[in-house]
Amino acid sequence: MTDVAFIATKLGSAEPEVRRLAARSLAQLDAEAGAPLLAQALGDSDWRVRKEAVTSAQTMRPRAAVLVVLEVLLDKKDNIGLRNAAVLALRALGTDATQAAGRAFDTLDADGRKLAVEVLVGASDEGAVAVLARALSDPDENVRIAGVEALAAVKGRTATARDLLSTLLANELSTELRLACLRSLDALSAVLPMPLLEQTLEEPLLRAAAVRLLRHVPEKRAALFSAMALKDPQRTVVREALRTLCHRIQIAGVEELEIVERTLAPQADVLALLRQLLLSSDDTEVRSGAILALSLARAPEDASLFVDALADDQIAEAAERSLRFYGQNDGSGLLTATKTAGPVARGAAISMVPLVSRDGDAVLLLREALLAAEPDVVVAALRGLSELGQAQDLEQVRVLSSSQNPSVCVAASHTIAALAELYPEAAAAAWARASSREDVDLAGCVLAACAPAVASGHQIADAESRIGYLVRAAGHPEPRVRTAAIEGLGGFTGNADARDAVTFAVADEEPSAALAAVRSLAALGETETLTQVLGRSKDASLLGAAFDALRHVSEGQAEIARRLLSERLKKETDDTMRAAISFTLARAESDA
Amino acid sequence: MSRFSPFREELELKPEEHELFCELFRGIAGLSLGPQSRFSMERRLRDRLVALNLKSFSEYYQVLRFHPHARAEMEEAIDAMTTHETYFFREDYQLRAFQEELLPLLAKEKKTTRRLSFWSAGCSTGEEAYTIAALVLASGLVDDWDVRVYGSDISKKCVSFARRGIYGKSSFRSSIPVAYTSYFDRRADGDVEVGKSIRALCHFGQMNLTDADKTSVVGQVDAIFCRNVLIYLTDDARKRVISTLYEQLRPGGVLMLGHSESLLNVTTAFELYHLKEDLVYKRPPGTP
Ligand SMILES: C[S@@+](CC[C@H](N)C(=O)[O-])C[C@H]1O[C@@H](n2cnc3c(N)ncnc32)[C@H](O)[C@@H]1O
Repeated sequence: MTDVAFIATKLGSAEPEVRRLAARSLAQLDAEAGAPLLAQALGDSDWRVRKEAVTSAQTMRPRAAVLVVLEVLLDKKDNIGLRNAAVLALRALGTDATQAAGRAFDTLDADGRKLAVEVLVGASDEGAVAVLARALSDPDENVRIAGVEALAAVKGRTATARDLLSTLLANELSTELRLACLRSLDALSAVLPMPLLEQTLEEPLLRAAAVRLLRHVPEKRAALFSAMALKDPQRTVVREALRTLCHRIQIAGVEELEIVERTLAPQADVLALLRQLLLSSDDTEVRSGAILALSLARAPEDASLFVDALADDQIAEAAERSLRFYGQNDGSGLLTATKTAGPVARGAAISMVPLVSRDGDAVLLLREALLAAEPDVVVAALRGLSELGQAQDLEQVRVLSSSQNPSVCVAASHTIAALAELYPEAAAAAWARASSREDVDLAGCVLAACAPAVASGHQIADAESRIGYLVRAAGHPEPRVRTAAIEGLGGFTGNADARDAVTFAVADEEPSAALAAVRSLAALGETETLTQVLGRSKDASLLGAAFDALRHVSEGQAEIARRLLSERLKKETDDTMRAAISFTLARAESDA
Repeated sequence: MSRFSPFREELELKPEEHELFCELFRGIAGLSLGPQSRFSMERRLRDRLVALNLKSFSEYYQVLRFHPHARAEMEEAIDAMTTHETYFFREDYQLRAFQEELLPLLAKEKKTTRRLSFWSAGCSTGEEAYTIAALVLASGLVDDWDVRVYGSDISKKCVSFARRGIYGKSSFRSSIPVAYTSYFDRRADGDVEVGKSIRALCHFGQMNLTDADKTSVVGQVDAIFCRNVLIYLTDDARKRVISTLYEQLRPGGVLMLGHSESLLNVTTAFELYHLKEDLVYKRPPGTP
């Protein structure tokens, strides 16, 4: 039996799976001989068989023969499944199908013309766009709409598509068609002239789609229209306006923000609706738009709404922006709101305090937050105080530096360092108090390391006792204290005790302390020891750190370091070390 | 424990697995482990298998060789495989000799720089280092001098413990000699905490003596105590350690080993130095 006859039998089977496999084997047939079978398979009652046939049509040769069958099938009025399958098969043939689609468009009835247009969805060639342009003036509205929709999917020639669509929008009377135009223009991210959009906005049925297009328009007036759309009786329009505002506000300048602000402020009912949408909508963009709009309306009672929204991951970013808008006008309202917020929101809100207010109330609030039970809040307050804190805050922050919570501890030591820079004398005094106590601690290390550096000239704490303190702290059982001390000792170039302690700390069993030692060796200019670490260390991270440190000392040292590592790579037998060395060298090369 | 893991008693270290481990530990830390060590190894490593929920020693071997956290696990294994026994004022005849005969000598040699440094190499949980510090302070020879006692061990846990400086009864074989009680504080819970004065002299770090990776960070010291460490090492590792110690000892400095250890058949680089009650090794003065 010939292949054709064999496949024909199979295609006649009652079993859909047998037919599907037969449709798949069509791919190997000659298109002339197989044409009737392809037509039969595309018209099969089972969609899986049709789908298989669409795929096979792409492989069958000669292609011209395939195109002929498919074009004929577009006119098979009695079998919708078959016609649709023919459209899909033609579409899959890409540019090759353009001519066939053009001929079909010129010869067939309205239904056929619509199918011809659908063939061109996703097309990219000039011929296809020309056919679609003709479709826009088709006597049949359905064909016109199909043309508009197909243009939205045009590849490459989007500028032409946009031009065609906006001309149509300006001149067409049918509302349905204009709606389709607006949607396609949005899909093409078209920037429409404001007058055309204004005209469209006047029509209630088009308004939502037109508002959506406002997001692409550069004119500030677009903001005014979006804000006004918030008062629209149609919910869909309000929602679309919020999405648009959400987009525009990300990039808006002051003037535009003021426009929105002025438009919204006196509208109590609009604000009520926005609050409702903020809390109940399931669309993140709508909610983000709502919170941004509310923050521009600046109703005092909304402060806590913004703060609470910080805890909502979906809109946290918009909430943060809102707080900034809002806080510019009403810092104290915001400060009050942070007190009643839930723990997550409170931490986030406290971290925003310095952005919206820097007065005495803000400082009091941060101080109060230091006493909070939640580490997030305390950390945020510590960060705030590192900007706004005063000399008197050193003491309380110092206490927190011995917190069991690592983030609090780290934040506290940063704040101590920042305050020490702002208030050198107070820091030196605090250090004197710390060092007069029996035990060394983290705060003491940070103070010893930085207070004197900034207090130079004040001669308050002598270097010898500071070094002694840090050397003792370098042996502290608590790794954080050791790390801070070792880091601090890096500031005493030329001192033998500092050098010895830092050198020995390379052997610290705690990685953070050993790494600090490498950094401090660099700060002290101990290149010889660093070179030794580089030549011998079995610890990949220490090795990397030593290499980086040497690279930053000088070009000459960098060269020595590179050579040393390359030498080591040749001799190294341990695979892990080889990998670490290669990685370090490669990193250096890519940096260079 | 997961229902899939065997009872810990069922975890058996087979002779061929034992050999693999021996080779591994020999390579990393120079540990000398003969065939007789199989059952003690099984006992010492079993906890690690249970902790990692492994079903066999072979699996554990794979972890030590190839797991991303192999390095950290190797530290655990080495920690389990080494003997950390130590106590304050151990081998007191030697300590007496150190304090009464060697220290005056070293002090004399260093009287211009007024700096002395000592190294307890393989210090375990730190008792030896603190003992040295107490002996030096109590000698009264070096008041106001710059004195440092470095303590190092291959075991991270031991080093961290040493830093804490708090010890229970087992760290003292007899009561603290009266001359030294002032260097220790008894805590409410009965433990003993090393006092501030000797704590301030001691610095601890983690080092593997068989590999010169970090040993140079101690700088050149005046005396090294490396007691009851070499006995656990292979001949080859012992040679390497001794040459490292030689390098880190200033010319004229002394090395003290445990009473059952000697440098016989290891090196001839040191001079034997006879004290009244003991015999120590000296790096010949003037050697480069
Ligand atoms: C029995 S203790 C001796 C402590 C102290 N020196 C004494 O005599 O009391 C031996 C110590 O040597 C350490 N050790 C064994 N092999 C080592 C190596 N390769 N590098 C450094 N320390 C090692 C062990 O971790 C152990 O803590």
